[in-house]
Amino acid sequence: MSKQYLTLHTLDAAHPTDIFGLAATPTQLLSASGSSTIQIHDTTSPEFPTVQTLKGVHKLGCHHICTSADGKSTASAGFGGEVKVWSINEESKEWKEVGSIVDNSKAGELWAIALSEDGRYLASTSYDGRINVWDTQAGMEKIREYETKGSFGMAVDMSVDGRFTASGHENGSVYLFNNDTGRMLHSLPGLVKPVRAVAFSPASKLLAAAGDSRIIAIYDVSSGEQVANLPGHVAWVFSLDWSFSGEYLLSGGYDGKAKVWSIDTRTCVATHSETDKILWAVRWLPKTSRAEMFAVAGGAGSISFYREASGS
Amino acid sequence: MTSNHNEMLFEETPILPLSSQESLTDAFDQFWNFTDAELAVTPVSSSLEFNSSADEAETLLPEAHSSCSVEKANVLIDLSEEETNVVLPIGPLSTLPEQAGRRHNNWLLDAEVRVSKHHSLDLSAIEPSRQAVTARIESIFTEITESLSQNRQLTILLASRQSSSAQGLDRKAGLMTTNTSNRIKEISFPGDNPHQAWRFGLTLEMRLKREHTDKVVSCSTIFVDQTVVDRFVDDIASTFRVPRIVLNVTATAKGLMAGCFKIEKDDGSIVDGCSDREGLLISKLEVSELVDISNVKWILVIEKEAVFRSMASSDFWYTLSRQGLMITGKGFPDISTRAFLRALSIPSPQNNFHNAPIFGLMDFDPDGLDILLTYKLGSYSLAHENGSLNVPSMRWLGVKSTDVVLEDDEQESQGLMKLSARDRGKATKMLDREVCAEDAPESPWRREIQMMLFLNVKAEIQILETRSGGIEKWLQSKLVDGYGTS
Repeated sequence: MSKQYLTLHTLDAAHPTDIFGLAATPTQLLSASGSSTIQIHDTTSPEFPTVQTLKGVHKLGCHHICTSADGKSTASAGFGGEVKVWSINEESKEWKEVGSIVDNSKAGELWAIALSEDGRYLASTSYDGRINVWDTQAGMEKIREYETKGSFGMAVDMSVDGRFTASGHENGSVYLFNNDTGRMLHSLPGLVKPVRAVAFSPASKLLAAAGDSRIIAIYDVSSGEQVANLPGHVAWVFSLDWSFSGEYLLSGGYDGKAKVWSIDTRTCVATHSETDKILWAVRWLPKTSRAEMFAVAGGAGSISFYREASGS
Repeated sequence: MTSNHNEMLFEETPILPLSSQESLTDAFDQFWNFTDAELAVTPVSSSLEFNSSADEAETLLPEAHSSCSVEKANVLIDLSEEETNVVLPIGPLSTLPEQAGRRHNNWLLDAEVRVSKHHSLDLSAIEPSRQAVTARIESIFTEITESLSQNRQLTILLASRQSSSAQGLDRKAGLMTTNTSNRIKEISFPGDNPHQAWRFGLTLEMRLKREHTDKVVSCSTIFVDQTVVDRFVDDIASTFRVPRIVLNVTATAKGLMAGCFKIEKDDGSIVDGCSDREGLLISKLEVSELVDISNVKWILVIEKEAVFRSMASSDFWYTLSRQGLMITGKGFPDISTRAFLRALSIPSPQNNFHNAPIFGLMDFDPDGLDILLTYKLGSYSLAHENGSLNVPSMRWLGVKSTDVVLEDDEQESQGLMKLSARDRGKATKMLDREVCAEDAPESPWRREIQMMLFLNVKAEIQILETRSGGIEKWLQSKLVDGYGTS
């Protein structure tokens, strides 16, 4: 069974350089790139117009951006080693900086980031493999520090139910932490090369991880068992995102290919390769009245929006 | 003076507070970390019978240091090219300035000299002529001599070149500049801590040595390593606002060159670039010397000697000897190498108004990029000389991120390395340079450094060997077939 997705719109030159990160709220898509600026696009309008530009906010460029599941908070991480936390004004839909963490110029102290469902907690990885959790409402205080074996943390995610944090590392390790106890729950085997993306399913039951191994591994969060292996990418995988129902997983890789995977059948149901430039980031857009949509971005500096073809 | 005497005094008069002892030990640990036999550092116990000529001192002293403990080190400094030495003990010693050695201007400087008042010499407003510099240096020594006889603290003002954050880029001229004037650093003896005493010694030594043509290099062991020498030489040059050459301080030739070129030397001899596949040392090119590069279609600058040599010994040599010129600066290039490349890059009577495109082949890592930028735009540390050494037309051949990460090659992991913490730190600092700014005119650097950081990978030039056809084929396609791409 395959699914059909149509290119809905492409924002050419959304950024002057590589777009490293995308983050979605129910009504907006935020994009971060090697430039110093974060762009915010309105996803409720057919042309996806830019509604806000956060200019010059990461001087050396921005490599990660994430939003809380409730869509009210955003965090962005810059190449200079700083993380900024943003909050949306519900009426004007404008984002405003509400806090920041600076890593004291120790490059790589703050790298990948993830926000909890309500935006209160921010998880970050470090160059030496630590996973730190910060309280964004208590003056950016560090409230937890998970130690791992010292391999660069390249990816991190927090489960929607708030119970788990997962990290992916340069040496292929994937770790699962219990936020209640502050302990490591599982060290997940299976990937031996750098893990560049980890993502919890919306029900917090499954964890997907992928990277240079080109295989997407799916783990059961409670048991730590690997429950699926999704081969098919021929290049490094940089980004993973679950659809809001948890039925589909979206992935994007170095060869510019985006794939949609069915979790039920554990097969690739769609492959899109409109560009030969790297895809650094792929994101589903929250399901609205329109059909299921996703956005991809990367080395081309443009953002392409796809929509599920009706009738399939 | 006997060694017993010194040791006794040392124990009786510990001048350093306990808290400083550790840094003292550190400083000396650095000091004693030598292997070179030309060491000009000697323990107190044997230094006082020092020699009247630097050469003799250098050959005499090495045996002495190995067995002594670090607390008893002296730095031996020769005051002129002829016969004078001064011993600066780092640490307490007996009495006040005392004559020793043959000349009466040889002193034993006592670290316990009490400071009555500061005595500063302003070196920053100096005219850049050789005589002026010499005169100024002489007057500095006169003042130091006077200070010594009056028990005053010795101070040298040194214009320290700025740290990287305050530096800029002259976009029009394509060279790095310093935005602000130099910070003036005061180096005193005796100082607040042993490091300062050590620095004073170094600075003094550097000043003295300027009268020797190539002494500094041979004495470089005193300075722990060459980078320290270079830093102080550059600081001093910057203080006097003159190029290093006016100070008569140039290092021995480091760079290598090979290819289808000829240099006509002043004495009429001809240097043939094809004469030695091992490469020829790049020495200073005199203005009157002519370089024939009329057959050179491209100039390839390679970061590393190992790659230079392997290319020269491979079949690539036949291409090179017909239409190319290959240079390596063995890492960060010295001034001679940069000056030579600069002379080739600009059409002039010297090269018969012929020039060829210049390409850089560097490692894909922060140092590789830094080396490329050093050739192209100049170095941050030598901003006062960049205008006459930069090669703005130089193009970046590789290695780039697209060369190291292959989409679907199972061999790709070969030769890919992860960044170290230092690499990440350096890459981040480089991103913060103006040359990597968002609106910089030519900006592959910003993206490539970001790629490096985002992918967390680096690779040496040799990674091209793992590609089909190896470096040779890769170069062939870039240089010979297409004359490269920027």
